[in-house]
Amino acid sequence: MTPGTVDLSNLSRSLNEMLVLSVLEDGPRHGYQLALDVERRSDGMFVFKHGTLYPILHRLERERLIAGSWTDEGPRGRRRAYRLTDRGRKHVQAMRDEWREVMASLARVMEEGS
Amino acid sequence: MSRFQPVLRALDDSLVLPQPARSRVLLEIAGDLEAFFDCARSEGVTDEEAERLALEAFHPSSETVTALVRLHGSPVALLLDGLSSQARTLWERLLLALVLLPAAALTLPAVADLQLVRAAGRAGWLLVGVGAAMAAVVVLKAYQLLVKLDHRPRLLRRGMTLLLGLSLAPAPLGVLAFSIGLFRALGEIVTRWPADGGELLPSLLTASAVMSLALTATAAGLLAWFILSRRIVRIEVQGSEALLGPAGKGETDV
Repeated sequence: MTPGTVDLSNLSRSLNEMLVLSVLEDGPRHGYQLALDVERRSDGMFVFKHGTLYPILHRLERERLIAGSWTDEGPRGRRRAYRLTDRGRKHVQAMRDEWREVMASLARVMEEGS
Repeated sequence: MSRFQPVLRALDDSLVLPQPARSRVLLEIAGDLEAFFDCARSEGVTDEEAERLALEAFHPSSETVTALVRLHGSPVALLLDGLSSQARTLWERLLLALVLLPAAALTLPAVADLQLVRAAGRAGWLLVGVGAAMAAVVVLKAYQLLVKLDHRPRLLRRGMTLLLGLSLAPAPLGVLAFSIGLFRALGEIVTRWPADGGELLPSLLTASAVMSLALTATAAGLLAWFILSRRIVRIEVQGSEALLGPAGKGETDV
């Protein structure tokens, strides 16, 4: 496996990144909607406490993997929506391949242990 | 007014982040709180329950605040963020004392040794004291705004009135001392003319030295006040632009 996007020493961070970027592949989302989509698509396996999403989103934006913009919600004020950048799109594709390898390796270890 | 205003205000106070990051974070949380509330209400939940659920879901934990400070804050803020508020205040005071005391110990004797200060006599010492107090306020304020990047609205203008007062105080003191000195000198002229000129000159010299020191202290203080005020205005404008958007730019639709 070519080392790159999945940080095995910080799996939860890589996992959060994968979940967020995968959902954004389908189109722009507000933070709140993003958390709901992760929960729905994983059948409740992955549940973000919504407040924890902010540092993740801000970090991904700083790394230019996603881009945020403000939308005017009228009387409800403004909300921030995020979309995947081209760099983010390439990154999530590379991450997907790496995660498949990680899961396959884990499955082999578990199988030999059983 | 948003129903979540009290919570956002409390959060505003705990977010030691520079502008425009702090406004952005607060606005983002405010928007998501309202969206969650609306969604919960549409599912038949009561207002109170929807509000409670929204706060439970979105209110950032201390770990989240730390992560945000790590991302957006200054290294000093990050270093202090791990401490309790009491420990943080103590450490900040110790650090500043470690910087200020040696600086004062080195600077004050040099200042006091200046011919101008010696010529000004006791009034000169008073003005040096005012100048030292001014310098301390400037250092503390610059530390808050430029090093710690603490742009909490309630702290932004703290100390500025004191700085302005300290800056303006030397000028009337100087004018008064000059006037008194000149009065004494003229008194000497009237009573002892043609007196030994050596008694007239020291009075005039002291008076003018005091005036010079006073006006220098006033000018330095006002300059520092002006520079810091401009920085504060820029911070406030950044905050406003983060909330309202920069003038003339549109927004992307989702």
